[in-house]
Amino acid sequence: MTRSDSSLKPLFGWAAGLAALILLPFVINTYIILLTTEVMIMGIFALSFNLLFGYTGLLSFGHAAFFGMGGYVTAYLLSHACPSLTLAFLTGVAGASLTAIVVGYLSVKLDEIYFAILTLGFGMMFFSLAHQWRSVTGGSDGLTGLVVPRLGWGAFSVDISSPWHYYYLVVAAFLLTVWILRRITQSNFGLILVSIRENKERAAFTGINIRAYRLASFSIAGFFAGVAGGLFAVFDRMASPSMLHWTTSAQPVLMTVLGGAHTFFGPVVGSILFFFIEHIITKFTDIWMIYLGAILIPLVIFFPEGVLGTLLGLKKRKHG
Amino acid sequence: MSLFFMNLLNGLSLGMLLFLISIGLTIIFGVLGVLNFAHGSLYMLGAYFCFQSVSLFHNFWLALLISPLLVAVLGGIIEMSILRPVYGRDVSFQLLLTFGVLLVLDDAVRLIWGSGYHIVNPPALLNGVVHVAGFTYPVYSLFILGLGPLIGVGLWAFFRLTLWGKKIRAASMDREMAAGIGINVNRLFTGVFFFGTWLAGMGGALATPLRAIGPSMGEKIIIESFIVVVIGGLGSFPGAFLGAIILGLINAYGAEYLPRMTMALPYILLALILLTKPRGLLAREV
Amino acid sequence: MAPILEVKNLTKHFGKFQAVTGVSLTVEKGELTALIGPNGAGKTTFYNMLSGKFPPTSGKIFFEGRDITGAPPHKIARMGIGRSFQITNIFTSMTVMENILSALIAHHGAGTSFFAPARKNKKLLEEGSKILESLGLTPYADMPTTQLSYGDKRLVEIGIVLANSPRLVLLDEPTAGMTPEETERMIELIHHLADETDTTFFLTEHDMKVVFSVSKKIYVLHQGSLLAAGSPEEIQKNPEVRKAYLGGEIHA
Repeated sequence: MTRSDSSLKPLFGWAAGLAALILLPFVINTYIILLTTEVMIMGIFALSFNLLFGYTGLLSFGHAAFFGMGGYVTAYLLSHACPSLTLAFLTGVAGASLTAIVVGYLSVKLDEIYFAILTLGFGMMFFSLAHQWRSVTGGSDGLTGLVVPRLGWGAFSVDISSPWHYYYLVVAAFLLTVWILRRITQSNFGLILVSIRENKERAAFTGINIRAYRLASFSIAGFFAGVAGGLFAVFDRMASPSMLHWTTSAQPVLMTVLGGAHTFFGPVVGSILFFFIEHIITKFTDIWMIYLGAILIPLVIFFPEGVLGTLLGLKKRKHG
Repeated sequence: MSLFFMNLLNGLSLGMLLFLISIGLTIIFGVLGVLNFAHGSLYMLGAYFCFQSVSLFHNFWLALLISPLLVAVLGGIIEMSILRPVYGRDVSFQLLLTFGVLLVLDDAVRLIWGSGYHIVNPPALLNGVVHVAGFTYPVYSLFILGLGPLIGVGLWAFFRLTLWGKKIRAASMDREMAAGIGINVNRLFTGVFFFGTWLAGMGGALATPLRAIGPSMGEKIIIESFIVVVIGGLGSFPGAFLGAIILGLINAYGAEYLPRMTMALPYILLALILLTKPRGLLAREV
Repeated sequence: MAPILEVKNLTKHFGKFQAVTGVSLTVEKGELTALIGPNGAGKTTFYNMLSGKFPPTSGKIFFEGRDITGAPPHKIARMGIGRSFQITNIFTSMTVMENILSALIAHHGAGTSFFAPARKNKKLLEEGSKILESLGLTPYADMPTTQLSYGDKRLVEIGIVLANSPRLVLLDEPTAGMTPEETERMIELIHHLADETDTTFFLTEHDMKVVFSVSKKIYVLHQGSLLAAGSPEEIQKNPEVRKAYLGGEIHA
């Protein structure tokens, strides 16, 4: 294989992926469009989580806090006559990021189980807040019935209440997220994150300020979780406390482990699998988590690198 | 005044229930190093088994004997088949596996018993109320209140005075050394997991006359017992006791004096303690 | 010239246990110095204080005249003190080059670059290649460290330390667990680096052959206190040192 071939190959993969996402609406029905939109939103959520888990080595069980914050702030502004979708969305993302900076500042000095429990606690704090601060959050009903304004300005605006239009908006957000996070994980910064994951002690004695890097990673992860949350609130036309519950925090964890935490696209593959499993099983029964658990357990025991990680590993062994 | 006293009793009896459940969680963590996400589901299973036994045999005491044992047997199987392969790996694997068990158990309960709620009446001996200083209080709550410390003392004696207790303490301090002096670590781990889940099942069975039995009861209690063991100090006995009482009282008084914040209070407490004492209030001492 | 490292009255208590008691010593620039002592003498505790793993109970540490007592590890590393560990301490799942790159990025403070691909940075790769070459690791640059021999893993750790261009390097038992050939190679490397670069080495070692063949000055730690100090010849003759080592053991 020549050199130009090998550098063109990933480009080809990207182009194929992009083409598939753009052409998808021409071959499938509305239901699948909605499902794909949701998969991509949760894919953003899972990718953001994996910057923290797969790359930095921090298992957060409170990542829903930033997902929910992005969703609630966006929904609050939209339900209080905010005329601009962009403004509402960006404020939501800013809110999620700020929350992540504060929670991260307090949490990243802890490790492993203590970090997991503290983030779980913070997440549940926001859940409780959403539940009990009725005047702002709408309590257990959440903020419902959002009216989604047109995206853009005047003649240059689109109505995104159509599933197709929203689908393309989410495709754009998804691709942008993938591109940015991919660049980040391959950058100097990303390499330092991995070195912290691999060996915290060695990293510190090499001159790396672990808390600062962890906080940066935590904040970026919070930013993109906020993106996912804002998109989800607009998609669902509501923000509800379940967005903040710890079982929502568990979703990106599951998706990431399903797909593989040590490969960049693992979380995306995981979210596709997650929805696929849910979709198939809920056709027959509402009780589908039991099957997810039954798949998860052997997967974690026998394929700790996840579906994508294992496949890539096999491919590598074949060629190397 | 009587309201204050009432809340105290409520808080303490809730605390004792939490203590029972958390102590199992903390023993398992102390010895195996595993934070068992499925512990709350096993507690729930204890409650369902108790409900089922009572409706089959119409005898609460028999149910109290059978159901924790069944839960413990299941616990032993879980340890041998699911946890044993991953002891060498990162803690996150254990969290995820026990989380997988949680998913399976929670839905299994829905499949078997449906999504509705069930209740179990206290046994005749403990049914009814007592009248103290002008207010009435259910006898069963008092029973739980007294049982908690009793079990605490029993466990303390077990770990301090019996050979098995000493073995477990040795293994929790240094696994390799324990294997070196001839303790069968595999069997010990299974035994400890069996025992820890027995306590969870016992908690669930004892809770049936106090709380409605439903498929979400495990989800709530697991977070509460995480808080208990973490604020007390993971792996610490006295810590679990202290944490359980604190959380029980906060729940009882919070509902009275800060009704708008009751849900958030335990988490605020958790964050405050972890941020000031990252290893919990009482250092580990199993 | 002022010493590169000056330690005054350093003491560390763990509860009632006195791990290190009132140790004062100096390391002169360019003079390969060793800290020896029987197992449990407090060598690693001493190193842990120098490199910032934990602060001393009392006493002061000066590096190039600056007080660094109690500073966190990453700050001490940035100031110019590198260290290796008794048990090999590297970034396991990464390739050899990535190990070195991480340290280079840390050294240049280049970790705030969020967007440019790290593995395509020409300047860093060049620097990394030079370090790998000096260690004889060039053929393994793209190999995951898990596939290396034990001795080569230890060399990777030395590479990580060197990438920071430290002026003082603390080596905690650099030849522990090595085969005789690997030990030989390590001694040669230390000699070479001490002669060819501006780096000052301060090492602990239990292999007396290594100690006496590389060091110019030796400090002896015994039960947490300094027992003796001097040239290799003086130390070998010192009767108290011989006693501490239960005789016999202290032959070159």
